[in-house]
Amino acid sequence: MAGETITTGEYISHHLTNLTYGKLPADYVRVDAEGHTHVLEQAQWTMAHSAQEASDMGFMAIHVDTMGWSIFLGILFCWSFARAAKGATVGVPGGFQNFVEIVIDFIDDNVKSIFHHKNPWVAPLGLTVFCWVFLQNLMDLVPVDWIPELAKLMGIHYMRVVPSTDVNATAGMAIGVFILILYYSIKQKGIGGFAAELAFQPLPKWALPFNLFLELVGLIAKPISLALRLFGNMYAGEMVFIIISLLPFYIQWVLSVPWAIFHILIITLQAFIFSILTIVYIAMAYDKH
Amino acid sequence: MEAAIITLAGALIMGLGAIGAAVGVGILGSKFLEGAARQPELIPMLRTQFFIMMGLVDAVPMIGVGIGFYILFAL
Amino acid sequence: MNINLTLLAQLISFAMFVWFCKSFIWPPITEAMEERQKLIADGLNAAEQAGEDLEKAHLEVAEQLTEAKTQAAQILEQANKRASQIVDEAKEQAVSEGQRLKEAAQADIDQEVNRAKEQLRAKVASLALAGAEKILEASIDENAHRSIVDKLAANL
Repeated sequence: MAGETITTGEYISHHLTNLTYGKLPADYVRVDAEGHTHVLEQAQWTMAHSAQEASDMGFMAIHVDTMGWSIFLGILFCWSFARAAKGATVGVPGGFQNFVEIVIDFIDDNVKSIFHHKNPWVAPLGLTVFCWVFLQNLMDLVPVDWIPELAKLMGIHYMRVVPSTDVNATAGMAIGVFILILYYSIKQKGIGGFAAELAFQPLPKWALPFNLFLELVGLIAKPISLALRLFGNMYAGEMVFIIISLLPFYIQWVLSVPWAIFHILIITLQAFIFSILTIVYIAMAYDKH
Repeated sequence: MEAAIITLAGALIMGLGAIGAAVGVGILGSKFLEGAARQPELIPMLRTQFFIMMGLVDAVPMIGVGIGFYILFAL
Repeated sequence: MNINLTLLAQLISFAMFVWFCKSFIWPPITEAMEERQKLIADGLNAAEQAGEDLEKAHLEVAEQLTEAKTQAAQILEQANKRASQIVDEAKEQAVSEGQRLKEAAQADIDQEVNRAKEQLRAKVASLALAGAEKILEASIDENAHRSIVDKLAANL
């Protein structure tokens, strides 16, 4: 439990607030812990002291915890896999290399069965997405209070450990995928071909506006569904863990253990789905309809 | 009054989402078993596809559960 | 759920991780895996080849064995034939030798007989002569009657 005096709602929203560094506008009224207020004379880059401040920062803000953890996990992935790659032998692979090869083989099989063109980027993209998203999701299995409490001891008030419960993280990746979809669509079919595909698709030429609307919605829905599916799943999982941690500590395991076991399936599945859909979307960008 | 409405809303979100997912996963599972029984040699491939589809079907109600919990406990 | 700069930062770091993976992780590992796959395939092929060779060698050995057996049988047969031939020859030789010896002995015997006859004849002649001498004593001139006596002896 986080503290003695805070309410359930406060506890939950505390857990759902990112450590935000951003720009507060001029004339903004800040309220500190003791309830004193003071007015900012000019716009200022600073750490947000509350969820309200964080949301008042608008777009010019960055979630330090999300970035920190996701980059840490990304570097963990890159470092460990690069080490395996450096020591990759043709002979009998040992321990970690074996594991890395299983993962790569798995991704490679899936890519080969979905994507039939020659492109050296797609398979590494799938691998990166799978591993990185999986590691981000895996942070969900760390008991919800451990790292935030540790951070509190070090004087950091907000700490969200699971980067994929931040919609910015998942949407960032989804936008990356979206850019790749557009890039490969135009590269393969030309701007005219791509536009024709959008305009003349399900119905013949006379229904152009309708086609355009349908296809554009379909196109935009790809990254949005990609981002929101992962975000929603992780957010919900996190939410359930937080709710469970509100129970008395001696009863928590009854719910948290089954949920954690089920969650192992979900995090793997969501990472897998994210990478598979990435590959599928890029394969769709390549294929002519 | 407001608390009752919020509770009701959370219950509706979770319950309706669960209905959809239950029907979806049920159909998916029955088809998977049918296919597996008809062509057991395709089971590995079918299982992969089954899990992909289950992840897709499962996502929406799971998000619903998240939102439901949020409005039940945090609001 | 605030949308902010984190989005772009995350996009950039995503791109960087993908680039890193594409440049430094994917190629060496897949290359090593492919090479190993090739190595294993080669090894399996070699094993198969060796198996085939073994089979072939087995067949060859069996063939040679049967050949050797037939050869041995042939040699044995030949030897047998030769042996019987030798025995036959030896028999024949023995028979002919015996014949020859018998003939030689016969010839010897004949010769001896002839010689004995001759001697006897000579003896008889001289005996006859002596007898006649005794009978006739001086009346007979040896030189004059010699031819008569010889004729007598030849008729013996």
